[in-house]
Amino acid sequence: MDCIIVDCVRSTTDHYCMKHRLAKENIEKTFASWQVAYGDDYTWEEYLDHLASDYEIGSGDLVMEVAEHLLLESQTQ
Amino acid sequence: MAVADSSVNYDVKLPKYVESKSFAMGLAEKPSAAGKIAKILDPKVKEVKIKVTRKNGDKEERLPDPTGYFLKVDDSYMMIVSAAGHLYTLTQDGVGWQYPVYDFRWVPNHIKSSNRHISKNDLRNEASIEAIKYIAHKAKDFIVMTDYDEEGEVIGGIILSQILGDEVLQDAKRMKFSTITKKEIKHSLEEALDGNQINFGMYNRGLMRHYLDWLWGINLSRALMLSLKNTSGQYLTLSTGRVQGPTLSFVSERQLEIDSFVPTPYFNINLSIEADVVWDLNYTGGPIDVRQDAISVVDKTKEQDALVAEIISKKRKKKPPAPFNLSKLQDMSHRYFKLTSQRTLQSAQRLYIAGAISYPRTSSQKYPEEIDHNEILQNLAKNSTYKKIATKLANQKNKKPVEGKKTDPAHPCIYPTGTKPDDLSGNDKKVYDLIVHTYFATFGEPAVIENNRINFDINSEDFYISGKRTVKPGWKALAGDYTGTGDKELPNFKEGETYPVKNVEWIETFTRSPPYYNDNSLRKRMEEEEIGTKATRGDIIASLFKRKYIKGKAIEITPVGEIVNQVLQNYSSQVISVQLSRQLEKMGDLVEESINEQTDEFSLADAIVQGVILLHEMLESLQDNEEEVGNLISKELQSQRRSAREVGPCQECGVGTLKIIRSTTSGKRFVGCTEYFNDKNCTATYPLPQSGRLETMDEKCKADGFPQIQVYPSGKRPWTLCLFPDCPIRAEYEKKKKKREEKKAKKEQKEMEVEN
Repeated sequence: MDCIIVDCVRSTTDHYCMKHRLAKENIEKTFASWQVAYGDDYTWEEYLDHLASDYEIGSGDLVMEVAEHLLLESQTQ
Repeated sequence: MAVADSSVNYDVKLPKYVESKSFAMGLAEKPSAAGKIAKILDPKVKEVKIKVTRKNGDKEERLPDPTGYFLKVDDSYMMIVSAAGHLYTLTQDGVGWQYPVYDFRWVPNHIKSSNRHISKNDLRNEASIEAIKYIAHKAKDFIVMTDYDEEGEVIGGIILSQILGDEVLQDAKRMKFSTITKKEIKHSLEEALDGNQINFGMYNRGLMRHYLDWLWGINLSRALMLSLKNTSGQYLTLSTGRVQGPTLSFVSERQLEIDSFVPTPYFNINLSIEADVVWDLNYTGGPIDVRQDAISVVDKTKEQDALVAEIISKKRKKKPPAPFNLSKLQDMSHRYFKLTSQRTLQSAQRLYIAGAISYPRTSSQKYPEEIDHNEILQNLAKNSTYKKIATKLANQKNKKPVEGKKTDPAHPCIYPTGTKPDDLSGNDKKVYDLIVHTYFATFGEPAVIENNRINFDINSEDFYISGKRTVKPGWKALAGDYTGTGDKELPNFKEGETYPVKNVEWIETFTRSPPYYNDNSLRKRMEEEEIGTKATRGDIIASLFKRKYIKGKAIEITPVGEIVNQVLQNYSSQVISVQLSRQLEKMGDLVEESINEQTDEFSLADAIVQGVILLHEMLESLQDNEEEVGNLISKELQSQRRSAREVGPCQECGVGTLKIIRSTTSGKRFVGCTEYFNDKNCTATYPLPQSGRLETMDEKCKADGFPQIQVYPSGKRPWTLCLFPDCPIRAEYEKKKKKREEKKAKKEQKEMEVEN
């Protein structure tokens, strides 16, 4: 099957292709540092929104795509 | 001449005064080197135009005249001819476009080239080979005078062995020189005549590299292309190589690091104090991880006084730079002039041929033992640009330049010979100036630098400023503009003084992804990983650009490059592994050692057999997975072709995407909005040139923010098209074009009037 990220046609047996999975892992790993920086009140959604929409901070392209996807996913849940 | 044809023969004519003499043949690497060497050996040398005519039945064609140099050295005559780099190349022995292919042979370059188009270079190559053949058969002795390195040995050795057989190599004499100067050329000829031979260790190592590179390139490229063709019927030129594969994977890995990079926030304290001028201080605690902590520091230091708590000064010595080897020269040339590795080497090669510097393809940081620095400095002093420093150094007694640790068995470091090069310009001038000043600097004393730091206490928070001052310039006074970073003087503060804090704030910052490689950092990575050679690394990077696998000054991998890397990573990861490339380099070392030490432990044949075994495993893996490989390439291609047609978001409706579309009725291409296909919601269209290749661009027009397309007209310079019909840049261009045309028309009219 294709990667779950819109427009990505890379095949995968999981939901994410290898590249987007790596980006997702990095997003998950780094959240703790952001919480340290901004305090425990800082939420996962705020974090994803920051990564997906703030061009100034220099998120990688794959990270922006995954963050946008995760954000949509969390909003629809 | 596309294929070897037995009905073809050649008529080669030399002037009578050459035909009648008995002479030795000298073989130089390039025409420019041949001329220079010949003029050094005999200032009365005669330049000879060698007439070569190809005869094929009734058809006769005069080929471009190769130049030879006829000279007299002592009582003997010599005819120096030249190659133009490699005159011979490897080709498949047998027919068929399949893989694996393990049989190959050397053929003249012009025979291998396409049979549809014969270029001027093919004709020159053909003429050179026939001229050398004719002269070689008349010559009584052979002197190889190509560059003394692996490539030079292969160029000279292959030409002689193809023309006269391998046996001739044992008798051929070899001039070994590192500078094209009178002293060294004459000396190397004497040594050659005394029995200096071809360096067979280097020659065999070079052959091994050529054979394995050919085997790697042809087989892996065919494996990729045939997988695609056999699976989907599509054709795309895909290729990889022994060193190219790992190099491309470095770019791909870095790209993935950048694309999957998640920034982390941190906080800096910007604080300034008011003295005679305003000084910005650094927070000793460095960047702060927690925003609240940064806010606290600001609150604590706001409107406080900064106490000068401590002034620290430390002197250190900075040694002069070691003489240049190629890697360091490329590094510095990139640092000061932003030149690529290949451009730097090209400039250095031209300077070497001009006799101005020593041979540039060297790892050595050591001067030759016999070097006469006084003579070089005195000669450099004749050049007004270097007169002052060169004279000072020439008059200095007991001068001893510093040297680095690295050595090279074939050549010393890069240094100026003292010969004044004619009319240098552009990059050559810059590179020469860098080499001369670095040469001067190696004679200097260590520079003494004072590092200063002033520590401040602001309400128990620590801040500092740091600077440096050159106390004794030493070598820096000799190095021209190439002394690294400049001084930063600190104010004359005294311990116990206080200064009011003028401003303090915290700034949110984010960690940055690793930078893209540039030409220099990619070459350095290759060097660290020990892949490629000092002479080939720049060319390998250039060939990745040429194949459009990588792009930009900040090097990005292109979609095609990513396909190649992805396929190899999934199905034949050894091809892109650094270990394998390194293993093959080590095999080269073994071949060279085995021949130099006459141990027969590891011959060229052993190396080829081992190389083929390794290659065969990789090819099998690709063959076993041909369908998957083909499907992967095909799928990536589809997605990339789709995105390659996408120009950007539609500026008119803001909903659709602008795409390059070809009209099914007129066949013409244009840019249209995808929303047209949704009930004709948007009818925005933009015209496109109807010829030339088009490439969409990420960068938007600077003037109006509209999407742009790069147009590649065949045989002309590429240009950028902004889609906005009233683009100011486009209008300006059109205005200039109109002006140019008017000027041209006026000129033509004037000329006609004069004629009448």
